Amino acid sequence: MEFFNVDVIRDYGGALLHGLLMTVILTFIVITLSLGLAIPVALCRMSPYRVIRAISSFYVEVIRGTPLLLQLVYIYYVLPSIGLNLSAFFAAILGLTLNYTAYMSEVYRGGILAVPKNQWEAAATIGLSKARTLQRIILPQALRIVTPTLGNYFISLFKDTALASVVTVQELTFTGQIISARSYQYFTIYTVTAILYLSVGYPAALFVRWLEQRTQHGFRSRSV
Amino acid sequence: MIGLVDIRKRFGNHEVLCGISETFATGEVTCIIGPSGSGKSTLLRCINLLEQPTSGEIIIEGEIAYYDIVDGKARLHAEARISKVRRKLGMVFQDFALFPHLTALGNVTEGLIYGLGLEKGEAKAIANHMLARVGLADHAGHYPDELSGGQKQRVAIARSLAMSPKAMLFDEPTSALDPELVGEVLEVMKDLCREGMTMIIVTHEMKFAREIADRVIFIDQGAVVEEGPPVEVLDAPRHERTRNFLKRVMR
Ligand SMILES: Nc1ncnc2c1ncn2[C@@H]1O[C@H](COP(=O)(O)OP(=O)(O)OP(=O)(O)O)[C@@H](O)[C@H]1O
Ligand SMILES: [Mg+2]
Repeated sequence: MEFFNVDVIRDYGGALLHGLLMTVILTFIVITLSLGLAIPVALCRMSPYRVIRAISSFYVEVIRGTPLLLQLVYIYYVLPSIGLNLSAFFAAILGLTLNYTAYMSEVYRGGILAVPKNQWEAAATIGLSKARTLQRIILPQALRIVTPTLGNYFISLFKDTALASVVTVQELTFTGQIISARSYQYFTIYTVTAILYLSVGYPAALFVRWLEQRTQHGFRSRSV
Repeated sequence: MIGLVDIRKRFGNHEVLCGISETFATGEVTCIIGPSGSGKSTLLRCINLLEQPTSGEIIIEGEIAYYDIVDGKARLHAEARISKVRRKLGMVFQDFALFPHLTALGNVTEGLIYGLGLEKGEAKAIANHMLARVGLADHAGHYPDELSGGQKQRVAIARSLAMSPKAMLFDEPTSALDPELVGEVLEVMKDLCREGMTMIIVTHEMKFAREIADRVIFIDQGAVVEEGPPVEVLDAPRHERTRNFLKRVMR
């Protein structure tokens, strides 16, 4: 087949795999940070203190109201003018984390609010403090509620890391762009790029579906 | 043991409790009856501050509980201090309110470990003893989803009892149960009564109330209409409203 040029793969396969590795690394760093940071942000959004609520809401609304692409560009190209120089890699990490933390905090908030009020009340009657109740009673139930949604965020983050290319991070998509422009083998390079995304993305999607099913039924002695 | 002084509770413009004053003596078993929406749950929930009264005072073991009135305004005590008083009052909910992610044993140890600060081993020993007391020794490892309604409610009772409460509050503990499961829960409550527990029970089980109560309080529209021993209130009610209510529920 004349479209598909195997020699190109021999020449550039290593670079593409390297790009894939960068994509995976970005995904894992950002998902880990966001999963953790989104919980305190969610709690701030529900804080009894108005100032804390206002600040955290402002952050979430700014992130939700602007495109991720713009956020990345802003961090990489605009922040240096106020003296904040970040490497492309850290700019991407920061931008993606700020973005995903905002969205995931909304998911956690929904999950926490979905736990019935009687759980707070029952915990209060056996002497648990608010903080303890949150930690021991509410969050474990909320986590189970939000797991499927967070799993889907994980999948979409994997693909959104392609946007890091606008701040020159050589992840998979950007690597594909560079070498296809250099070799003019668009068909081959972009097809391989897509296959590489799928080779990680599809198993990841299966994993998320499995997680989803696991969390469908209630809590039981031998949960599968 | 528990005193209520002119307790009022308003939700918006709707006055749900219109000045209730009562005392509940140590070891006394009181049943609260009344039509739906009359404020029975709200009254019970005020006693352990799940609802904050709009005005009035709550006295637990001779001390003013939960808040002080300063310049006509309630100033809440610190969380730890409120907690300490609350722990003296076990609460059993109509819908059990068990923690679904914890086993029966976990439900009972939770308050012992994270409320009272006991060691895990000690907490487990107490919890197992409490589960045995409500006849569920061999269900310690079950999750709430794996228990029947009657078993769930007994776990909930064990969870409260584990905290060594000075009094137990029950809000329609059998209303969510299939009829054939009501008996096992009432039996556990009768045991508690025999052991001298102070109990305040909101219930629609008139036969049970007659059997167990030292005193019955009939509430309607947020006010006490009539109270006294069951033979008076249930068998020879003086008030028209009590008679009408009893006629409806006894059918
Ligand atoms: N959180 C709330 N906000 C607004 N109104 C409330 C609230 N809780 C209770 N009410 C109202 O207060 C009134 C008394 O409610 P309560 O639950 O105390 O009645 P009850 O006697 O326990 O009735 P039932 O037998 O149906 O349980 C009802 O009219 C109810 O709608
Ligand atoms: Mg009620």
